Order: sequence, then structure tokens, then C-alpha cells
Amino acid sequence: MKVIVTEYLRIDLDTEQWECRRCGHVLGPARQNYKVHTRVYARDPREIHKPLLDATRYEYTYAPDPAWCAILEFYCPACAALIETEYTVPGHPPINDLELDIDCLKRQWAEREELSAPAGGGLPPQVDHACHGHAGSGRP
Amino acid sequence: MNEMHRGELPGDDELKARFLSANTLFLGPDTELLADHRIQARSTREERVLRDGADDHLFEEIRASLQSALDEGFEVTTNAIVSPAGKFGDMTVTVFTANGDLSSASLRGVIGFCAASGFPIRYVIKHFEHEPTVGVRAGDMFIMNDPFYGGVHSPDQISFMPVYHDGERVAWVAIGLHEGENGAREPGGMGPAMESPWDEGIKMPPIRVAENYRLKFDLVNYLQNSSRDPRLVGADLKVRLATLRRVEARLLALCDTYGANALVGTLRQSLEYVAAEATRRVRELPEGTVRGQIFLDTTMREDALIRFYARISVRDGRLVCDFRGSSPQFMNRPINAPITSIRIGVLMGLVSFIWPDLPRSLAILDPVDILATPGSVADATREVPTCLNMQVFFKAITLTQMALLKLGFGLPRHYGNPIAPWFNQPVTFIYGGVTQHVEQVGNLCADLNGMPGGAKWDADGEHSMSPNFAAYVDTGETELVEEDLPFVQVISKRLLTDNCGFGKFRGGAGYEFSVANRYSDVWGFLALAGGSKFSTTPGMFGGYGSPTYPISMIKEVDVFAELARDAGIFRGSLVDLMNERPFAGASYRTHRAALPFEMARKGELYLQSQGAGGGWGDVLDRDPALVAKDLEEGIISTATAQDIYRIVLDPRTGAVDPQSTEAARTAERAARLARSLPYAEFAAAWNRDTPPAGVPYYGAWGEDVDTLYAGDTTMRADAIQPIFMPDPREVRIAALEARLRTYESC
Repeated sequence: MKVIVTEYLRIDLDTEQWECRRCGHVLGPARQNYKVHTRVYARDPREIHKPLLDATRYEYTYAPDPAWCAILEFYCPACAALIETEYTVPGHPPINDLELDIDCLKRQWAEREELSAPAGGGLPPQVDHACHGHAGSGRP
Repeated sequence: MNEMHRGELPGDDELKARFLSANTLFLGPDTELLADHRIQARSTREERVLRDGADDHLFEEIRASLQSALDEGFEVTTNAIVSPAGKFGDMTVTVFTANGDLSSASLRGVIGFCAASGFPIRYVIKHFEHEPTVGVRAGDMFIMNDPFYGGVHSPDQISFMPVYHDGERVAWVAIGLHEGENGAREPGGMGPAMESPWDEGIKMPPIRVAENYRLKFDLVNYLQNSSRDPRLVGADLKVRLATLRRVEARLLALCDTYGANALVGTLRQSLEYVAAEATRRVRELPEGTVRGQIFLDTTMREDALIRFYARISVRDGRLVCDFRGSSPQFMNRPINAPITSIRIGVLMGLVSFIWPDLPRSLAILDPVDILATPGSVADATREVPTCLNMQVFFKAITLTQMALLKLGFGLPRHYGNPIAPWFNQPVTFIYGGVTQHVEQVGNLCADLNGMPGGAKWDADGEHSMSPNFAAYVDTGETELVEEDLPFVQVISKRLLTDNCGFGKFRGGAGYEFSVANRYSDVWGFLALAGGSKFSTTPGMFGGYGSPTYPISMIKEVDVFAELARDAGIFRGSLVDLMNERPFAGASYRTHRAALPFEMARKGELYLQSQGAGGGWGDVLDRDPALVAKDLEEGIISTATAQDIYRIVLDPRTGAVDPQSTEAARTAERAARLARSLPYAEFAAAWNRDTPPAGVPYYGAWGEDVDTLYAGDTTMRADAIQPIFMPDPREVRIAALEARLRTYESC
């Protein structure tokens, strides 16, 4: 069974591997930080958030200060999908932002059906106040 | 002493305890009471009513009437209140059980009051109900604003009233509302220059301001005397009392119709339901840990990189929000957040963005634990100012939202549409001075309610929609504001190009706005946002975050006089005004988005822009047609379409060239792989053991949360000390004097 985790990541519970949802590339063991299986680039934030005001005249220009802020971009090594961005301080180690208990995930999904696409939003569940601890179903 | 004469001498400890209990020097805040946000045990009456099962249909009928009463109270207040924030909806009306557990809240307004208002009620029950000089009776109205008694921050005032039926208390009703002006050092009740708790204006623990449904004139006079705006204080106390009476009447009518036990049972059952449902939803999430951090870039007086760090875990049916590793608190800057306000942020993140279908109730936090280091910006003590604690707890909203989404995006069921972080800064102006109606005022512009929304998982975010801390509130009518106040919004609510979080779906864009004093000889402004050097609002799953933004100022000129001479020189955007500089002889400068109160002469122009909601997903996955639409609407520039979204436009028609666009995107993907490094190689070159030299950094670095950086020094978290910042003017004088000495020695 494959479990969707983020826009670009899923976990194959049988092989316990992270996979890219865009190209299917097997990234690496799901018990590890997914980021260690990506390629990384430290982006000058001014390339994304360009100065709107004349940088020769003004101290603050609508662009982040590159001495204070960098954007780490984590790419799928196969298809180059931008899996994650991390706004950080130059030199700060990338944070391990998502650490899942794979054994727990297996237990939970043993009772669920595999999804081919994210469930997304949809109508709010029908709340039945009479049933404590047994809210109505959410998305059909 | 009589007992001692009888030969029953108490031991030293017992004697001390007896003396201390009978001689309270200062009651003060009750930290034990504040620390426990779980719902309390059922009262005897609640147990009696619910023990044998509830009449669910009857309770649902009562619940609907309660909701109607609260929403009616909200409307009554917004239509009568003088506080500008209250008019715009920055308030909430709530109902509590007889023991002070929040049961339900108005649908509109500030969610944070749901995490705050119960604590002052519990305080009154615990400390005042049996105190002979106070007591609690029908017709009382209490009021408070001190965050260390459970309030949000000092400009917010919570008033509450017990509801009695047949001599027994059945409920409490409350209004939490941003009142604003409270006699603080800067007008409007909050500002960058507050350097101690005693700069922050009147600090009310719960006090009874009305008895037998009548305001106590001596106390009203005292409260009015403590503010720059006695008209605001006097009128709004009356509105608060009138609203609470109105809601009380609705509750008593329910008691008469259905019986008081039915009301008591409904109030209790509602919060028990919410606690049980929130617990069930936490158990639905995968177990694991999400880490996140947002860096504040200002203390409000100087630039500083201040870490707010979160490790949010699901384990054994509990959601543990751990903010250890965040910066030490600042002794003389107002950005510190009591842990009660962090709790508010966590609740807001859950209610606004993850479980919006649940009734607004503190019971949502029953399965939640919140941890922070005492003495940090996430668990501030009473010795430090806290009026701008939003700088920290608004980011708790964002980090909670992101954590639950990272844990739960793959779930087979969502309770709200998955959405990237909402913009999280209070970008607005606060004004103070004497109006054209010769009234002294100090309060805020409603532009802080114009925060843009984050991108959704399947659609773009909303432009300047509503604040991250409230729902269904207003940004106010510019013309009405200008009737009351002496400034003009020369540019009002115009979306700024390229001011959005880019992504597969982009975050909402933020609008620009401006103020200029037109009519007053005594007038000034302040501002209180962060995010001029470091983005405050991240993107989601590969999306980019908010740009940064300063305040722009055009001073030493009367723009109204200039425009009277030649209206043609005006430019409709701050970008053009600042870059083209059409007003000859004026001073043009930018400033970090936090500006201490300063006097504004007639015609001087202050300009700001909201930031942006975070983007969702990879920019190269964005539908070229949506890029073209943004371009057509001025949301993005041609440069952004080409350089970030990699869209190729037909030079003749401006239409998207699909084949060339696909080729450009393929080339960009190849370029990504070429310029990036495998993680291990990257980390070896990138990672540093300490913060960069030359950057004033505060908080832990990396995973080690036991060592805290504090500018030039470090400290251990278990020996944390507040940081005292030098006066920026003294720093500036010292720098100028050093330069002077250099010149003198030449």
C-alpha cells in the first residue's frame, strides 16, 4: 500500500520507502528524513522576492536580506520537482520537518483503503452531537 | 493566639501557613489556574442532569438558540461599540458553564478569546466568590485585560457576567473585544516603544465594574481617567453591559422555556462533545513529529533575528506542541508572549485551518499539551512587556497549521480545505492625537484585518481576505473613517504587484495603503509589524512564502498642497511614488515595518503593504493559463511570469506560447538538477555550528534546544536570563560620536 504524505511525497508501506508522487522515483528509506534523499540548492531570496524599491536608494526594498535569509530548495533527484522550500538563516542545518512513525502508519492504514489522490477538502462532516466520540463521516 | 494559650501550640510551619493564608500581601495572578486548560470535572448539578442520559433533540434545539443569542450579541456590539476594532469585528461573545468552562462562541470574530475568557472567570470563582469584600451576584459585570490573568494582550478587554436562575448560577456570558486606547506610553494601547509592563497602560485583573446591572460610577470615572479617550471607555462599558444583559436575558428565557437543567446540560454536553471529538481526531493522525521555525526579524525597535521554534508531535493520543528552543524573552521590548497566548495561537491554528467545523471551544485543546521554556519569548514572565505578543503567537498559529497539515494531508478525510499558511502579521497604522472634532483619540486602522489567505491545495489563495486570528471581520469603510479622524487614505486597498506567495497555486496578494494627516495640528502614527528582512509566512509543500515589506515614508512635504498645485504628479502605487519621487524637496525613506509613535505633520505620507499568503506546490506545475490570468490582473509582473513560472509569452500578442513554455520548464528542471547538490554534499558545505557572524541572533541553533544564543553571548536554557537591549537612540549617538572623534583626530 502507498500512502500519500505531501503534495510530492508518498510512502510505500510494503517497502518502507519514500517515493516522489510526481515521477514515482524511489527516494530512500521512509524511516529516514526524506530531505537526505533529495538534491538541495540554497537560493538567494532576492531572486524570488525581487526588490520593488530602488535598492541603491533604500535600505528595505520588499526583498529579504540575503545575509539573514536563504531559501533552501529540495528537489526530487529524478524529475526535479520542488518538493519543499525552507526559509532559513544562512548556515542553519536544514530541519528534519517531518518524521513519521512508520509502524503506527502501518497499523492505521491496515484499516483504511488506499487513496489514489489526496482527499482534499469537501463538505464538513455531519456532526451528530448525540454520539460522543463518533462524529459523522467527513468526505465521502 | 487563643489556641496557643490553651496549650495547643502549632508547629512553626503550620503557624506560618496560617499566618500567610490570613494575610495576603498581594493576591496576584494564579499561575496554577492558568496552567490547566482542560475542562473541569462535572459539577454536581451537571452530573445529576447528564447522569441518566441527555435529551439530545432538546439539547440541539437549545444549542441552536444559544448560538443565535451569541451571534445577536455580536451584532448588537458591533453596531453600538465605539472601539474601531470592535466595529470591525475584532471581538467575540461567549457562553460558559457555571464553573467557567467555555461552551460556545459567536460564529464571527476573534477565536483567541475562546482560549482566554474562561480563566478570569475561574479566577473570580476561585478567589472572589467567597471573599466577603467582593462576592459574585446576579447583575455583576467584571472586566479585565491583564494577560497574566488569562487575557490576550493589554489592549484587549474581557468583560463577563454571571447568569443566575432561581438563585443558582447556571452560566456566565462574556465579551472579549479589542478596546485599544488604555493609557499606555504610546496611543492605541500597544506599540514598539513599550519598554516595561508599566508602559502598557492600565492593567486590570478581574474587577467588578457593575453591580445590580448598573455601572459603578466611581470605577467608570477611574477607568476613563486612565485613558486618553474617556469617551471610548465610558461608552463601551455601557455597550458591554447592555450586550451581556441581552445575552443573559436570552439564556434566562431558555431556562423559562426548557428548564434550567436543560440549559446546564446543554452547556456541559457541548464542551464534552468537543473534547471527545478533538481527542478522536488527534488519534486519527499518524504518530510522529513535525519541526518548524519562523524567525522574527525585529524586536520592534531594532533588527534582530529571533527564533520561534516548534516541535509538534502526536503520541499516544496527545498532541504535544513544544516551543522550547525559542529565544529568551526581552526585558525591554514588547514582543514577549505569555504561554497563555501561545495556547491561543495553537487553538487558532486548529480552529481556523484544520478543524473549522468544530464549535469554537477551548475544549478542543483537551488532548493538547503545550511546552515552552519559562523566561523565553514563548513563556514570558510578568517582568517583561507583552503588548505585542502577536509577533510570537501569530506564528504559533502558522506553525500549528503547518504541522497538522504535514501530519494529516494524506488522511482519507479532511474537515476543512487544506490550505497553506495565512499571512500572519498585523500590518496597519495606529494613530493618536486630537481630531478635527477636538477629541483626543488613540486607536488602530482596520487594515490589519486585510491579511491575504494562503493557497489552497486545489485553488489560489484569497487576496487580502481576513486576519489569521478572526473570521468574517471587516477592514472598515475608508470614507467613514475619514469623517471621524483627520487623516486621509491617499492610496487605499490596491493590490501590489508581485506581492504573493508563488506556487502551483499562489497565495493571496496583499494590498497597499497609506495615511496622511490632513486636518490635525497634533497627530501621529506608529506601526507594529515584523517581516522587513525575513519572510514571516512560509509556503507549503514547495510553494514560496511571503515577500518582505517595509514602511515607506514621504516626509518634509505637504502632499495635499503639492497635489493642489498639480494633481498630475500623483502616482497610484507606493512603488512608483518611492522610485519616481514626484514631490520635489521631500524626504523619501524606508523603515522596518515597526515604527515607534512619531508626530506626522500635515501632508506627510506613510505607506505600507500587507504581505502575502503562502504558495502551495512547485511553481513549474502552475497552469500557464493561471499565470496569464495573474499577469493580466496585475497580480504578477512579466518578469515573474518568465523568471519564476517559466512562462514564454508571444511577443506580438502577449499570449502564452504552450510549446515554448513546456521547453522552458523542461530546461529549468534540468537547471535545478545541475545547480543543486546531493543532500550530504550540500549539508557538508552549508551547515554551520553557530549563527552567522554579524547577525544579532537569539534562540537555539539547530536541534540543540539547551543552548540559547543571545546576541554576543550564549546561555543554557535552564539558566535563561532576559535580554536587555540598549536604547537605539543611544546606540546611534554612540556611533555618531565615534565618527566625530575620528574626524576630530584628523
